[in-house]
Amino acid sequence: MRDAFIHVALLLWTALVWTLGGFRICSARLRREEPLLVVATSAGLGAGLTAILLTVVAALRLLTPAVIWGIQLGWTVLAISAAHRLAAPLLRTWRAHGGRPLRAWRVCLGVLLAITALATLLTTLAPPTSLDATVYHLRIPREFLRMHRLAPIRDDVRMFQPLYVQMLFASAMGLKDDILAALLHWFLGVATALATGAWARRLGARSSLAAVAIFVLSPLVIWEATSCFIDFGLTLATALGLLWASRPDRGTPALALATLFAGLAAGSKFTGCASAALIGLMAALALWPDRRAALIRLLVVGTGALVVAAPWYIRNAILTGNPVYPLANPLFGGPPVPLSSWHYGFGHDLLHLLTSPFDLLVRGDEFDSGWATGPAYLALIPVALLTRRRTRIRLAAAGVIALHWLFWFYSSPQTRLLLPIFPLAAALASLGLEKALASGFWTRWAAYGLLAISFGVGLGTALITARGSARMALGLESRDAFLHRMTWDYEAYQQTNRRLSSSARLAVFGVSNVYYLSPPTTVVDHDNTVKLRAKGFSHLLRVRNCESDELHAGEAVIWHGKYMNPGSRFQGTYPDHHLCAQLVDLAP
Amino acid sequence: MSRRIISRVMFPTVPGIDDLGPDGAGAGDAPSGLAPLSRACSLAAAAWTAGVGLAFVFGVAKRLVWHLFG
Repeated sequence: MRDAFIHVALLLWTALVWTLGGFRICSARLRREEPLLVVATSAGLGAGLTAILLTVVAALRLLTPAVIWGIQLGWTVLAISAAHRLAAPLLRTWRAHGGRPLRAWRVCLGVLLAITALATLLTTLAPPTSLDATVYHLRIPREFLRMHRLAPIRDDVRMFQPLYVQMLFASAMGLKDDILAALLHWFLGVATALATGAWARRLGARSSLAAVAIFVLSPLVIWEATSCFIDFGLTLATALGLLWASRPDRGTPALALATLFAGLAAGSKFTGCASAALIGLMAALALWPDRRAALIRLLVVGTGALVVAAPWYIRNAILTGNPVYPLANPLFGGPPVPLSSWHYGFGHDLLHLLTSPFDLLVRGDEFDSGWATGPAYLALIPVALLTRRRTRIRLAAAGVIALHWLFWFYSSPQTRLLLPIFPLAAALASLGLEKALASGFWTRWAAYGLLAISFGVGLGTALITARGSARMALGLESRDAFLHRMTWDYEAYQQTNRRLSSSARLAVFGVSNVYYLSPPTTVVDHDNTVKLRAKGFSHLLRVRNCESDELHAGEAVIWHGKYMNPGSRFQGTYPDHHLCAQLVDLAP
Repeated sequence: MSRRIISRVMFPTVPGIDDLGPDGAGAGDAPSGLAPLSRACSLAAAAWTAGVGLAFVFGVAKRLVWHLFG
């Protein structure tokens, strides 16, 4: 329980100083914008600049907890100097709108959002258990901190992704631990929800709350909010970049923000390059048909984004000769290297493109849990586009969504890669909702039913995740028992950690989610003990199906065990399948 | 009648979802209120919205059945 309070206090401190510090840096002209936009932009600026600063620090081989604390204190000083500047506009906003009577539907949505926020916060206060977090999102910053630099980790191709969000996780791990890292991702989710509200205002919605609820109360967003991923960082940068790019009336400061957020998007994931391209396109379209001005804005955003994202692409070029490794590797003289061994979707033909929004909902397993997007987007966006006035900004938002959908469909149609357009989509959907609720009996009740289904599934997902983690978060369950219950292969890792010291060099074969292994670990693609010994490994952890689990003659097996993995992170106690593991001493 | 009462209790502001008002930059509708859809459009929108909602329920139910009994 005490740990939970410390984590929440550190989260609040970091969130506050990033937001106030970002607000201090923001141009005075932009601070007078819509409050939701100002707060989201300030938070995004604070987080983004921290990530860039830590990347520079790591490139200089100075990434230590002391430096991270120094940066945090620097933000704190900046935040203190900005506090009085933010207080005045917040008070103004409160006086203007705070005294208005709360309508029942706003109270309902507010209560739903508050329950969801608390449930996901509670879940996130337990150690991170998502597979991606334990495979690489947390392993990368831990290795960077261990070696004080941008250490090359070559045993997983995902280590070559741009890593700005992981630098924020490094900051959290320098300040406290991996739980704070997950909490910072949760905070980026909150900022993204605010950016969604800002987009709703930008599109002319009467209520930003409806858009925020549509965004937040989808199972995908709730799932993302409960562990270490990078998607909220990418989504926040995309939403803010697009929004500022659509504001040529706010001059150079708005263009600078659009450029910075485009760079942060491209520096957070390879797919963020598509977001950066869309931000550039939005910046150009905002001044169309003035072709010259549009081209200049496109060039400014493109060049600036390239500079901001450059460290990660330069790092890849130095390590592999290919700035976008493993993508397009043959173009740079290397062998083809797949980024993922999975194929998503039903095919890339025109018919499947047209049916893909329905496939996602009805048979979404091929897209990796497509149902988790919820039905609100598909139901309400067409209503908005067909029944509300098609203003330029609304058409631009719809165009961005369509272009991103095409990119998604023809690249890697995984459900969560749609997240960067969710804020715009939720804002557009809220326009459709307004129209539906203002129309006849059947339309209104169809919309009520849809919201009940959509929000019910979202809320249910939040409560199920909280149920799985609450006891650990509140200190009523041990960390080992929780990780046994919620993560894969923890039995093998715990046994290995008990037997090996930090001086061991461990090779792991058969699994890649090695974050909870304590000794320095390398994931290997073979289990030939002679070759591994020749490479300097002292031990091998071999994990495989029990059907093929044989002890090899002549191997010094120091632990041999059989265990059961949980079926999913949402249902930690649901047993799925047995695995067998051997820990082999490679000493001659 | 009961539907109307439930509607009024739960969503008393319909049709006027009110908040801070359009920000002007992107607003495309009259600030005084949204005009309701014509009857034909309204029925089409209702059918579409309900259809997507039911498709989603079908998708989730199918997955649950598979998960529990598959």
